[in-house]
This record gives sequence, structure tokens and C-alpha cells, in this order.
Amino acid sequence: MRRVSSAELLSALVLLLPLLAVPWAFKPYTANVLAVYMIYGLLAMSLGLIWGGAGIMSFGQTAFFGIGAYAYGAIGLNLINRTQQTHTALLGGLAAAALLAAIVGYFMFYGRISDVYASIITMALTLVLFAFAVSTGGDEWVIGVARLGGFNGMFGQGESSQNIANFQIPPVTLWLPGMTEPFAFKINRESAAGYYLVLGVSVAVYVLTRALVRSRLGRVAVAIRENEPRVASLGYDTRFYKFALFTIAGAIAGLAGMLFAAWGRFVNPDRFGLAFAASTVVYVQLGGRASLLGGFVGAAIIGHLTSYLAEVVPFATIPPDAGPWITFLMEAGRRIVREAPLLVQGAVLVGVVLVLKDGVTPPLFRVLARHRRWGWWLLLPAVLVYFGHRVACQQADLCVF
Amino acid sequence: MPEPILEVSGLTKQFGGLRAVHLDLTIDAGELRCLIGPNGAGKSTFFRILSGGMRPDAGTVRFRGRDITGWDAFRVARLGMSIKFQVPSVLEELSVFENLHVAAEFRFGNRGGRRRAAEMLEVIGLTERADHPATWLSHGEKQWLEVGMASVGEPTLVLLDEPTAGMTVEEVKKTVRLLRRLNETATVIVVEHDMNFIRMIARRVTVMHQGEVFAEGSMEEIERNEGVRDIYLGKGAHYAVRR
Ligand SMILES: Nc1ncnc2c1ncn2[C@@H]1O[C@H](COP(=O)(O)OP(=O)(O)OP(=O)(O)O)[C@@H](O)[C@H]1O
Ligand SMILES: [Mg+2]
Repeated sequence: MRRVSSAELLSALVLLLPLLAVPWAFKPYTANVLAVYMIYGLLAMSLGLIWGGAGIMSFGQTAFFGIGAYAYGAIGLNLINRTQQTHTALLGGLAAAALLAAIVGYFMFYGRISDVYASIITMALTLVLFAFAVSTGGDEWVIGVARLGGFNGMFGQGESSQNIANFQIPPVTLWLPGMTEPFAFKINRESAAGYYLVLGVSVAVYVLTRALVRSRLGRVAVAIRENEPRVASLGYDTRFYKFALFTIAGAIAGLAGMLFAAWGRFVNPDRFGLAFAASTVVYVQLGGRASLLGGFVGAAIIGHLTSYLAEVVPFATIPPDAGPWITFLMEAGRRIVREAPLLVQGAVLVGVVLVLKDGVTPPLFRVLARHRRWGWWLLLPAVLVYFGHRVACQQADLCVF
Repeated sequence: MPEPILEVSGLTKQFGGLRAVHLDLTIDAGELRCLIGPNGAGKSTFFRILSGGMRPDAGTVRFRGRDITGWDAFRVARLGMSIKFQVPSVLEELSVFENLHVAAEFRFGNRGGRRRAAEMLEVIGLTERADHPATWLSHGEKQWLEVGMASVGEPTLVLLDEPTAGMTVEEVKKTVRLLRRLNETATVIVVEHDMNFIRMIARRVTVMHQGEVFAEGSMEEIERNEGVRDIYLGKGAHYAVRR
């Protein structure tokens, strides 16, 4: 079991190396897309932590993501033009998410509500927040200069009397003692700082969470997942362990939400929505909740598949001599992929889950742990070939697949 | 004059019209008490109430001089009572070592817990299987692991619900040795159906019937008791068949 865990860590390193090179090798667009996969991955990891770690399914983990994003946005919009940095916004977003998770967690776990209801309660929470956020379109919904904006999302209200235009949520901006001017983490043609920020935070949170899982809190949580009454009879106040882990997972989701708002410089009620909540569950289920890496892998797979399906046009040309049945099938195939990519995504997901019910990462790590010799000799070149192909494809149009 | 460690008075649990438990009982410190009784006598329910897994309808439980009636399970455990449930409840996906470590960590911390867990592995004879998931263990091995988990935290009172269920004769002998050893430092109450096991332990026996204490005494006295034979030993053939 320890071996499987170290295989996971090595795989994370193998994935990290090409990710470090992404801004050099690709156009800013790719860095931008990968950053959002990592942000979703972070959110999925927080769900994996509480779901895989303690067996508590938080369907509405997005509630904490959204609160983090909205709080960061509201504070950031108000302070950025005054202080030129977002320190307070970062702290405020994190605190808001952690506080919400702590309150909800307290009622769920100390209120003796069965864990089965955790998914329903958190889903209700995120949907209530969705309904609320949608209803904030009116002029009266302002926090300082931050307009909540209902469906259209949050923005900063410029004062027309002073000729200041509306403005967006600021990127993560630091102005620490010793710095001559503030530094903003952006992702564009000039700078990949925003990408490295997301990558750095992801790595740091992954490492910290890994340590957490191996601490007493993590060990007892896993034991609770296995048999809660047994763990209580050993002297552990299981409510506290669940509460603590849930709050930490909420804070991580909030952190991801802040990165999201800073990355897109935007947040709207969709982050609280059912579709996003379900996607997050799908990332974890697909990637595998037994490892913390699973959420990242699931988010990347779904993200990739989505953008791939948006580009491909299967059976674009139907041979003129094809019979009516073949023509019909090809035509149907094309229309399904073009017009209902979600159907294809769903089918892939169901297929994977039916074959690998624990997701894609556990069997991978098991193979790597058992066959250490050739396992790595297979994985490393595979990652390099894939990476090299993507580079050649994007920079020189040398696409094989 | 030994001190009572557990005093149960008027303890009652009702399931609808069925009075599953209704008894008074005193256990002295250092005892190894056997609790027997036919199926449905209320032994497991009694244990569940003692260990905080279920609230009684009436009556009190005093443990180490404190009224623990209605306490949460974890608080009872912290006061030094541990239990092995009748249904196997090892932490299946965790390794054998991790099972013991979680049980020991509460009292002795991470490091100390590791040491105690390793020692306990020796005692229950599962050192070779330390890294196997508990779910791979045989039925008998799981029972020993549970006995180990119940005793690694150095409790003052250990409740064991059918620790030899499904064991071979050799395995039962080993369990008896384990129990004797455990009894050197802790008071033990053990529920068993296996009369050979009870005879091997040969201590004070309490017979439960329909939720109440029906008889109490040495094994010889119990075996001579006509009433007990009627409700329980008279069905000995039945048990012999079942095992
Ligand atoms: N949760 C419950 N709800 C309703 N009835 C219950 C419940 N738990 C136990 N009972 C009933 O209470 C009575 C006592 O059950 P208990 O499990 O304590 O018996 P036992 O002496 O441990 O029997 P066995 O030797 O078969 O383990 C039985 O008639 C049982 O059906
Ligand atoms: Mg029983």
C-alpha cells in the first residue's frame, strides 16, 4: 500500500515536468486552458479529500468554490484601486469559504445528521446560492463598488461622474514589503506568471493535503469511512474529525474559486450551478477518489475531451457510393458529435466507470507499483511523446492525431 | 475486598413490546466474567448500552465510580472501556498494522502507538500479516485482530462479544491464552455460546435469559442448575449442531 502511494507521488512528478515547460512550448492559450483544468482539479481534489478520505459525498462542493470566488471578487474590486494589491481579498475569500464550510459542517456532523444526507444538504446549499446569485441583477445589489450583477456576473462599477469605466475582478496581485511596485499574476503573451501561480498553488496544496492525509486526522478519517461506530468505540470523537476535514476541504475549494475568479477576472452564478457541481463529481469519479491526483486527472481528461469534441468533425465527407444505411449512420455520427457532445462525454464516462469503477488512476498506480521496472519505462516515454506531439502539432502543424 | 468496577442497576431497553434488557449486575475489578444465555437473551444489546452505542430507556450504569448512563461511545472509551462487537468490525481496507495503530494512537500518540501496535501484533500472532489489508484475514484472524484492537489501548474494562465464534478448537485455545493474558491487566466480560471455551476459562458465570439475570455462579453450579439446563444447556445438542 505504501508502494502504491509512492507510485502516485512519482507519477505526479512525471506530470509536473512537462507542465513546467508549457509556457515555453505552447501558445498562451494552452497555458490558459491548462490553468483552468488545474483550478478545477484543485476543486475536485478537495471533493476527493472528503469523499475518498472520509466517505462523505459533498455534491455541492462548488458552494465553497463559488463563495471563495465571489468573496475574492467583491473585496478585490473594492480594494484594488486603493491598495494596488489583493492580499485582503485572498484572505477574505479563503476565510469566507472556510467559515461557510465550518458552519455547514458543524450542523451536519454535530447535529447527528446521517452522512448520507451530506450530499443532499450540500447540493441544496449550492442551489440556494445559485438562486440567490441569479437574483442579484438589480442596481441595489452592490458591495461598495462591486456589482453582483446577477446572471451577467460580477464587475466593478465605474463612476460616470469621474469618468471611470466599469472594471473587472483583479488578477492575484502582490505588493509585499521590499517590492518597488505591485506584481500581478497574469497569463498572456508577455507573462506566464498567472499560469505558474496556479501550478505552484496546485503543487503546494497537493503536497500539504498529502501530508494531511498521512497525519492522524487523515488516518482516523479513513478509519471512519470504513466503520464509524468502531472508531468511536476506540475513543475518537468522530464528529470532530469529519468536521475538521470537511472545513479544510471547503477552504481548498474556496482557494480554487479565488484562483478561478482571478484567472478569468470574472465570476457568475454558474459556478454554483448544478452542471458545475455534477462535473466536479464526475472529475473525481473518473479520475479516482482513492488518490488525491485523481481529481486533477479527471478534470484534465474531461476538459480535453470537451475541447476535442468541439473541434472534430467526424465523417465530414461521405463517399458518394456509400449505401443508404452507411450514409445514414455516418450522418448520424457526425450530428451526434457536433450537436450533442455531452452525449458522447456521458457515454465515455459511463463506459469508463463500468470497466474501472474506482476510476482511471488506481489501476495505473497499482501497475506502476507492482512492475516498477518496465512500468516507468512505459509511462515516461508515453508522456514525452504525447507532449512532443502536442508541441509539434501546435507550433508547426505537424499533427498525427 | 475487591472494588466494583461496573455497577448496573435497573438497566432497561425496550424494543416495541419486547423487553430486550432488564437487569442489575456488578462486576469487580480484575474479574474475568463469562456472560452466557440463549439467542436473543439480550447480551449484545446489554454490551451496546454499556459501551455507549445505544441509550437505555431506564436504569443507570456506573463505571469506575462515575455515572456513564447515556454517554457517547467515545467518552465511554476514553474512560477506559473497550469493546469487541459481535459482528466482525475490523477496518477492512486498512492494513492489519493500521488497524492496531488507529486503536493505539488514541492513547499513545503516533510514535507510541506504532510501538504498541507492533507489540500487539506479536501477542496476537499476526506479525507476518502486518501489511495485509484486514479484509484478507481469515475469520479467526479477524477475531484476534479485534481482540488486539480492544486491548491495545490498555483499557480497564474489556467487553468481548463472542470472540471465538467460528474458530477451530486450536484457535479457541489460543484465544483462551489471549484472554488470560488480557485479564492480567484488565477486567474482562466475555459473551460466549461455546461451553468448552467457558469451561476452559472456568470463572464466574452469569446466565441471561429474556433480558434478565437468570442465574450466577461457578461453571459447576451453573451446569448443575436445573432451570439453566432447561433454558440453555438443555439445548446443548442444538448448539453442538450449530457449531
Ligand atoms: N435494534 C433492534 N431493534 C429491535 N429489536 C432488537 C434490536 N436489537 C436487538 N433486538 C432484539 O432484542 C433481543 C436481544 O437481542 P441481542 O442481540 O441482544 O441478543 P443476544 O443475547 O446477543 O443473542 P445472540 O446470542 O444471538 O447474539 C432479540 O430478540 C433481538 O431480536
Ligand atoms: Mg449477541
